[in-house]
Amino acid sequence: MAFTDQQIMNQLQYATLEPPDSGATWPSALWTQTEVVRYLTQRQDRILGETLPYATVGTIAVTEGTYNYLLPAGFIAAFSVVFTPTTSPSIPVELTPSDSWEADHGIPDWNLEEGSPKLYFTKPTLNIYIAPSPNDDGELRLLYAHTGTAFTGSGQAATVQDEIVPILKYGVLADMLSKIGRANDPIRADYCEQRFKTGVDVIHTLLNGFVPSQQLEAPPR
Amino acid sequence: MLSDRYEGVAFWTSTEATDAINEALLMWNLLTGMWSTPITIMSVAGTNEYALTASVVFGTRVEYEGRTLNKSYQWEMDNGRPGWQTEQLGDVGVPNTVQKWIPLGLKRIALWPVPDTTNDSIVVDGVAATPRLSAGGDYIDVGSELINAIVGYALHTIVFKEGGQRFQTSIPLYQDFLKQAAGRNDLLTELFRQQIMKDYNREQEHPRA
Repeated sequence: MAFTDQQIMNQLQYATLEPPDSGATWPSALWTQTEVVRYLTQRQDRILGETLPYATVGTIAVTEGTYNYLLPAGFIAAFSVVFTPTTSPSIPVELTPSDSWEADHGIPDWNLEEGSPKLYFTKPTLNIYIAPSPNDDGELRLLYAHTGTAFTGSGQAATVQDEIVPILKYGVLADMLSKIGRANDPIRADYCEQRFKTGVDVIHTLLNGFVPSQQLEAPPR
Repeated sequence: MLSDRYEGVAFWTSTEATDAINEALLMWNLLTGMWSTPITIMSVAGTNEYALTASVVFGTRVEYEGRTLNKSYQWEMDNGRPGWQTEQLGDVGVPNTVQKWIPLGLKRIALWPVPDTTNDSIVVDGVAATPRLSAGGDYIDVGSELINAIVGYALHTIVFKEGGQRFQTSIPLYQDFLKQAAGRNDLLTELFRQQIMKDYNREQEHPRA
């Protein structure tokens, strides 16, 4: 049973003493539906970007001699990239995540001289580079994390699972209550931001097996 | 039970109460994995990645043909065994049986080495989708020793809208919820310890009048 944006906004209205109507109207004029929907989308994408909880499979056709390809829309980060050459025996090779500095210094002229791809790196412009430049046609199989479906305020289901929706809710409340103006409530905004960060850390810990590094605070005297 | 925790007229609607209790249940399940269920997936030769069904929130344990697999993590495999995703059973230097399972996000797992047989059974024990209340008379399977923490969290959620001192006084209910959850998930104990200390320190910065 996926939560919809209307159900989440209804809860937000209860939390902010607005008359609950699934987020359609905000009579206090402190917030608008459009604004809250935007907060929902941004916080959901932030959860997805910081924790990478869902993986999607995508493929990119590789052409011999071409080392730069466009990534799928909504790409956040790759779990793995595997190159399978067309020429028999077509043994798939997992590419190592790297960066341009390593490629330039580890494989000089990687973009000029063809070879069996060994590593990949991505750029914020949604491009993926493989090095060295492939010496064969083939296919890149991407397992990657992606952004969520944008909320609309019309019943769009959340991309995140129901168990993560409370974390999303507190993230949105943090945005709503830190708005400069009459809606500003720094104490509750700070509390909500801490709830959001703790939730993100919980997901990170469950997925990676260790607690994200946090500065330990001195115990009270 | 929720109204037992408040003196005077309840300042919430039944919908609010239901939402708050369901939020408590969702958080409790995420933090402790209390409700669990097994699912069975059939292997595909040459495939090492498998998606989990919607009935499972995330996997906690995997058996391959009745044998429990060791759990690893992607960062561990990527750094300790580069190229692990394409290593087949029986390759040089690769074991002859599936040894490990690796979560790839919440809804996907990978096996190492890659299975070479189709229709082997992969049993995934996972955290089940959280049971929720929707109407009066609904019940959920939870021990009575947990009711206090869950109702306390629900009350804390409802009081949020009040703000100010009333909200501040309900923070210990949330901290107690975390302590109870930490006692059931060692993986999160350190994380919660830091969060509980942070909450305490925040109270010190904003003392009640």
